[in-house]
Amino acid sequence: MRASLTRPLVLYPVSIVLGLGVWEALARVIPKALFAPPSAVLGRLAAMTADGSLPAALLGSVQHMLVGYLLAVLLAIPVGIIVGRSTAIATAVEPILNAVYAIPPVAFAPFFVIWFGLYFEARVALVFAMCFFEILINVLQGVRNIDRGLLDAARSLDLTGFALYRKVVIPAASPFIFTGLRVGIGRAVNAMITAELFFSAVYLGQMLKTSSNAFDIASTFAVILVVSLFGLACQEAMRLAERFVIPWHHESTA
Amino acid sequence: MSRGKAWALRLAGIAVFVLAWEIAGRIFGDALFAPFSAVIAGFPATVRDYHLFAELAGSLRQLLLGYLLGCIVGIVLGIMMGRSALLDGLLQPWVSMMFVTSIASLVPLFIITFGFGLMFRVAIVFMAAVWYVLLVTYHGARSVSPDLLQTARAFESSRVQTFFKVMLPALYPYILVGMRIGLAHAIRAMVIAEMYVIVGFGGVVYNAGVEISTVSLLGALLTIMLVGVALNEALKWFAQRTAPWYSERQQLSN
Amino acid sequence: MSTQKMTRRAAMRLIAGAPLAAGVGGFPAAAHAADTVKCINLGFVLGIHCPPTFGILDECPKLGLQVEMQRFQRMRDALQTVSGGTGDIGISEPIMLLHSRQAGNDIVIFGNHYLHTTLVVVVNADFVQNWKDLEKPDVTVGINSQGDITQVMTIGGFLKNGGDLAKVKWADVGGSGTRVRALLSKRVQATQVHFDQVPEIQKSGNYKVLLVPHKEYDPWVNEVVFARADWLKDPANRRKAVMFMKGIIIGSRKANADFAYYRNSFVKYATLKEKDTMPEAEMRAHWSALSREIGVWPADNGFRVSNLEKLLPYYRAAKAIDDKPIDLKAATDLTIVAQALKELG
Repeated sequence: MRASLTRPLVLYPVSIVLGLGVWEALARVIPKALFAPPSAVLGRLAAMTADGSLPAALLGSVQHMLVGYLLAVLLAIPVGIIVGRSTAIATAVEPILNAVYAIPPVAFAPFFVIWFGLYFEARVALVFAMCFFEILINVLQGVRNIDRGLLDAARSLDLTGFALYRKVVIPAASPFIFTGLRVGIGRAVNAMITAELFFSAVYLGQMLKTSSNAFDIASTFAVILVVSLFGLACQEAMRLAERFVIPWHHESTA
Repeated sequence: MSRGKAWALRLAGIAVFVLAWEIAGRIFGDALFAPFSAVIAGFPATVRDYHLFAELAGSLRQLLLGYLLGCIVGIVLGIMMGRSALLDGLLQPWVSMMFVTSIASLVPLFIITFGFGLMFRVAIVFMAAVWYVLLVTYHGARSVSPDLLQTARAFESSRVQTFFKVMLPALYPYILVGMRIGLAHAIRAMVIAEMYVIVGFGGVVYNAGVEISTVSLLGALLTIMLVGVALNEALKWFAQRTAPWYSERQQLSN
Repeated sequence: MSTQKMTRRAAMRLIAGAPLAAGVGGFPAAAHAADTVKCINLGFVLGIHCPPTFGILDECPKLGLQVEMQRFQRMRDALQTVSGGTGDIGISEPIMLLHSRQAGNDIVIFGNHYLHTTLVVVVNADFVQNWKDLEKPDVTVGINSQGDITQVMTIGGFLKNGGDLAKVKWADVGGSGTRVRALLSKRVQATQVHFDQVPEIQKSGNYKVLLVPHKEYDPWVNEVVFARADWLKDPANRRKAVMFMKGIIIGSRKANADFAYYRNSFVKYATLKEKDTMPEAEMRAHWSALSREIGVWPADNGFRVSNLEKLLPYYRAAKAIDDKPIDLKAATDLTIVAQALKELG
């Protein structure tokens, strides 16, 4: 396969155009009250960007997303490493982890209202709750997955304590850590909107609600599209970061 | 670690959690966050009034269907995308965008397409689980060391042999993590979808949430937690049976 | 205006392939298509809903109409399901229906499910003593979501007692359970709850009722029956609609006349946990309040265009509907109830 044809730069647009075609076809069959064609949606998108409402809303929504995500990352990585390295703690914590992880945020939201209120703190808390576990589980697996042989070799070289972590554990777990970061940021983008729909509606969530209430499907889709594209961009950013930070990690193709 | 010690640790972890719940519950009171003791005391009534277990059984059936489907598709597509630059380029943007879309926003469209019966719930669970399985498997497929593959080629093993003897074992930890995360999301999606149409177990959660006392709601959530743990244990047992060599390779054995 | 009509089966054929369309889905195949109808209804069932629900599910079959009922948590989904063709008759709140008409959704309201509501506005008396206090900076009013009946109901009371709506802070909280918890945890200082939740709330602190809708509004319209305009054009469907309303009216009349009928419907359909253990005296008190004091099950269904007209100013003040004019005559069909009443006598 010629490299030039398979580069993301070429394929992504092709894929998107194909997808748009399918979308347009669907819009002709599904009733207007529920669906909108790409033309209408892109039109609304352009209008909302031009008058500044969309960029402003995105900027607002991003705030609690970033704070929640960073908190989750800052907590999940060290906790994951510590728990992953200690058999005892991992065994003790695992049942609770699996248990709490199974509960949908929808069911938790009423309690968040009580504990965190209805505004920024609650949104950050929900974003945190919605991406923390994914990151943690990946970090955990990454640490537990480290080859025993590698650790034995490190020990025989008298590597202990901080040096052990810096030179062996973290690099070895990096692929999984980055998987966790990528999955996590996808979740955080999702949570960004969910938080605004659950608590006092602001920014993008408010735009969604308002257009949804007015049965303005085109605008609703436009907002969802922006969020999807934003989520795509964030995940691509994570992939790029991984290529930078751990270039030695071969991601090969057949 | 001896089995006895493992269980002792697990119980210790659970005990800490229950204690925290009890304390928090006493501070907040029944209406805001019932303490563990109250939830347990009220559980028989909750089960009776909401037909908890009957609804749970019905929901789990659909959950498993959608989840297994999601795993199969996710693993297959993940591997294919991981090894083929063309497929990756074509599908990646859509996968990344679908990934950040909340299940909640898909429910209305799915209802139109699939009705409110089995198909709808299976479809929702599928949509929730597949992306996680796919993404994590994809990352795993991309990180198979080229050295490993070259070695296999040097030994003149066929592509098929290489796949089963080299790739799949290397992918194994990733698939496990993907399935684990996918399972949690499958459970959550099941509850969310059911809360929408007020059927099954999700319907129980919804109706319990209307009550002022949180005893029933927390009882229902506790049940989800137990289901999450049980299913995870089942997953681990299944993993153990299909690849017992894996846990030997890990530092921690269960 | 969209002339595309998409039945659920057509959609599935398109998207999921013909084999799947056969015999799969939520509603069981009916033997006689002529006398079945798919009804899309809302979430939980309180005392006020029971007699009409009993009328729909138990009285209608006696008239020859089988109703398959599917409940939804969100009113929006109920509306979309009917608009999309998966359901025939829907029950929802009028504000959202009128708003969707303004957006081009051609649905028609043809009857009341019941009249008035059991929701009341409750306030934390430590913060709010009267309507004016809602303007205070440390007071937030909890509602289900912007522009819905919970907000409009509160706005109406506020405006009647004079006040600057711009100074009131609103917070979208969600369902009544969450609203109660938000009130008790002092996240909001006023919200709407069901009147039977009030005693429980008052046990937890200094709370009082600020608005009782049936006293402020004349009347308050909470849940109405609707269908797609083109569905209703078919004479066979009109027949079904008439039978549907007859069921509701029969249920209403019988519940007014006989407490045992109410109790029977309550035990059968209520989604309240206490329904099996509620003492008869308490149930009777509720019934008496609903039937006699408030009059939620009018013998003639109480469906009048003027009722909606009187509420329009509040809908507009709450920005729950667009500023555009709205033709209530086109949005409603009075003939169905008229026919039902004629046949019932």
